[in-house]
Amino acid sequence: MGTITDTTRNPDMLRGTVDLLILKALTHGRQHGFGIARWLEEVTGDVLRIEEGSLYPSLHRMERRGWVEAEWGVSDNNRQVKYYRLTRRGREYLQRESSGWTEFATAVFKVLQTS
Amino acid sequence: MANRTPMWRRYLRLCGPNPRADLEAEIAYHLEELVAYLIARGMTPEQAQVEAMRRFGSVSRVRADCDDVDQQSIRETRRRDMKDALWSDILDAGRGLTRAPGLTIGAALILALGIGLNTATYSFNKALLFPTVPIADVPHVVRLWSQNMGRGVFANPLSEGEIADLAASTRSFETIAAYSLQPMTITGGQSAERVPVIRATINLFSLLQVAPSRGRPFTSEDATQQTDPVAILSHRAWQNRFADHAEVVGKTIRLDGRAYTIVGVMPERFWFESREVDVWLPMPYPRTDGVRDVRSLMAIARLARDIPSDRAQADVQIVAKRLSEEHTQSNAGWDIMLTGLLPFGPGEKAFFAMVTTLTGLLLAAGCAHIANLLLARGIERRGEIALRAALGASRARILRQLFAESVALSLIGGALSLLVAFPIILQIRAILGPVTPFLSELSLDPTALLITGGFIVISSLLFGVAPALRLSAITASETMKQSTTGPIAGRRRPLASLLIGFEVMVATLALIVTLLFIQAANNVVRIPFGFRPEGVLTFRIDVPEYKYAERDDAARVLSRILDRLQQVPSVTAAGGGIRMPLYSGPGLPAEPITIEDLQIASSDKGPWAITSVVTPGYFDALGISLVDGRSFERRDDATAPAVAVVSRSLARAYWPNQSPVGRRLKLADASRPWLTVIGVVKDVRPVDPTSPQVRQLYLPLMQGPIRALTYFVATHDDPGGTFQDVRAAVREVDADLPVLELRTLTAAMDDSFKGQRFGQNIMRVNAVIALLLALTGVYSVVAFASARRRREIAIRVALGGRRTAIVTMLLAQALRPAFVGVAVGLVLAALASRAIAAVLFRVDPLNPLFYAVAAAVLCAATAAASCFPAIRATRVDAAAALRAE
Repeated sequence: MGTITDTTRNPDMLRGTVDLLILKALTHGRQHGFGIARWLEEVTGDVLRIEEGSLYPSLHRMERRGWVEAEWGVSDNNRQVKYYRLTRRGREYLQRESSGWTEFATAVFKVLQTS
Repeated sequence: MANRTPMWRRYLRLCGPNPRADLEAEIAYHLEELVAYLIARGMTPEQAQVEAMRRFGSVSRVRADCDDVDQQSIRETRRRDMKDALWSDILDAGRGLTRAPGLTIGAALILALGIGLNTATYSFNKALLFPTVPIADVPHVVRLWSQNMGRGVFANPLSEGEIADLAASTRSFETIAAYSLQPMTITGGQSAERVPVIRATINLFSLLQVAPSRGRPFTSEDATQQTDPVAILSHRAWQNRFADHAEVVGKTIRLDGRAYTIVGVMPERFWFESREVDVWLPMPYPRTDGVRDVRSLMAIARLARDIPSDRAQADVQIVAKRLSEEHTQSNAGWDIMLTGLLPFGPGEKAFFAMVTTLTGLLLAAGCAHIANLLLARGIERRGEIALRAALGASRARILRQLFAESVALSLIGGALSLLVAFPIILQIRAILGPVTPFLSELSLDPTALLITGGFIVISSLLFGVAPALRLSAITASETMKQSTTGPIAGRRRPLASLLIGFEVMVATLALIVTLLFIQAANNVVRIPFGFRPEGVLTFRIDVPEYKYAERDDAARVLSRILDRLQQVPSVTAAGGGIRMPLYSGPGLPAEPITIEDLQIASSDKGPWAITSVVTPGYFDALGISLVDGRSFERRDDATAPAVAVVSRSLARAYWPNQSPVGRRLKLADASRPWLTVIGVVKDVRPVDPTSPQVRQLYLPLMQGPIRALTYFVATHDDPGGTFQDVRAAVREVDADLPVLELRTLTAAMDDSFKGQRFGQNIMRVNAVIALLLALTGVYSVVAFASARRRREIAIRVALGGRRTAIVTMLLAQALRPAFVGVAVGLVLAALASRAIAAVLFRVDPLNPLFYAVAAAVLCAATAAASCFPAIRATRVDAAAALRAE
């Protein structure tokens, strides 16, 4: 896997991937966009670099679909910020999709292992 | 980029989302934090700014993408909110309607009847005015008839000469086509059968603007050449008789034993005159030297471009006048009339117009009634509305609820109206369908439903929401302070008075017109038939040509059946005739006759008679009494001298003050011999008593052989028991002959008056509904006024006021407009009844009795309807009523 920086290439697949990563980030509790970006950076290192701005359309779309809920809250440094929280439906979606992803990745891995 | 935290956003969220501002705040926060984070990692503020923008990506694209998503969400939310609001409106409306079930049921029923009756009449009228016949441009197609006022002959076919002259000398028509309808026996294909056949001039199809879907139309050679006759089949005949559906053009069918080559098949949806017509034959165009004294051809014409039908009528009358001068023998006294394609006379049209007007007025009265109820209710609900407004419901919300109630009410009424309209339409179709092919496919007209439904919905909306609009303008506190029994309620309601007046007026009008009509209908039925239908059985035998080719053989079969019937023990007398005794209508031949040594001078009204062929026993079986001479006997057969029996009216007309027995007369057909009158019988009335077709001339069957006979069998006892005997008698003569339309004569007579009875019933229903509307309207107004003035009444009663005075006061409010309504209704009824005088048989349209009865009924009924609630109001317990405030 290479570095993904261009979100316009194969947008659908990528969008789905970004959605999953965001949902994963939210499993640890409510978080704002900046916090999600930091978690992703920390977990994936340089391998998966996403334009941080692209998190927001994803978040808004998932809010509309009812996977996440948004609420205004106060940040650690005492500022008003919009927090996102995983809903039950979002959690179910994450579970379903991530197992699919694992199967897919395992299959691809196996194919690549065979010489 | 904004620096400040949008504290205010939290509060504004109460007022609804502002996603754009939210998004700006989110982006600003992210970028500021990112810059701070990068600086913390050792970048200079400038480097951090650049790096943050790089990592974040295009702000404008993020903004646009988010915006798209957010706008969609907003739309969805709005839709959901609206759906919720609509649902709660419907629930509220349901609650509102069930809270006053009486009003709801009453209003829904009124709506159902009003919309239903109007839809039915509108559909019917539309079917009449714009018939769905497969003929192009119906309004420009007219029928031509001959008529002779002096002889009481209307809607009569034309003679060859007349048609030829009309075609030659009028310019009002594009084309005139002639045709005649006759039954023929068709063999070949699958079975032998009598079918109606139209023999028409070859321009008929082009006049109707249709062409065969297979094969070719008739050519002028088809009509004139004799050697190789041709025919065109109906689509139905092709499908039914040639089961393999193969190409039939070029094949032959046999009609009355003769082979015809099929040259074409008409389109599937095409029909003319009757759907039963299976075969079309060509006929040569009438010539001016053709027959003039036999009128047996039907004629239709297409009006020339830009010629109105009244101009054509004038044109035709000029020709008729000239003909009556040129051909005195055949045409003196004869006129030519133009009618639309539909066979309704001015009398029927006036009746339809009357029924339509009445149902329309009924609908208007129904609207007025509902309006009245809703207005009253709106005022009653002032308190409720004010309370809701005080609790924070917006004015729009309250209006929406009232609106929803009216809509729900209208929908219920509209749905129920189908239950009213459908049976009426089915009835009309069953009664008029067989005689008027245009109505055989009469169906509920959706436009009619929409128009009448829309009318009533709009009015119920107007009146349902109007009080709410007025009320919501009053401030809540102001309204709540006033109780519903306060001074405002004492005010007169001019609108309510107007509505009552209107309802009572419609009821008066409907009642009078109905009384007149029912009286007229009774007069029609009550005229003595001139024969005795009780205990008589009737049936018809049609002798097919393929079995008995010779007419004399057929007549002998018919005669043998008669002999056999007379031997049945329970039978007292049996006879036959060519038609039912009460038959009248188009196609009834009023033939010119010649009277030997005619004593009376009548230059333009030559003698005429309705001829009928009957067997010996006919007069006995039907109880038509002989007043002079003798009736037919078996000896009056083909070899005996030609004889005739005449009706009393005919005898009086042409042999005044003397016995016609032994005198002679002659039919128009010059080849037939002089007939000697042997007897005189009483007149038999026609169905339509306004037609003076009682000059009847009877000829004996064996001297005028025919192929079909209607039998009349008088029995000792219950005629029902003789049904089997009749079938057995026919079977003995020829087992293959079907017994058609076997029934009692009383039942057959009932059928003759079916149309009249249906008309009566429609009128009765109208009158009853109008009456009910008026009564409930008056009742509800008085009841409502009494309820509003409970407090005032209670005080008066407490102070020792006389109950009668209070009742009078309450009554005056409702009865004053009601009596005005009666008066106006009487005047309108006088005008309306004159318009329908044509259908009011032997009824004086201004007979004061009917007007007095209607006025008395309505005055008494409205007084009673208003007394009841008024008296109840004075029975209040004064203390309780005052405490309730």
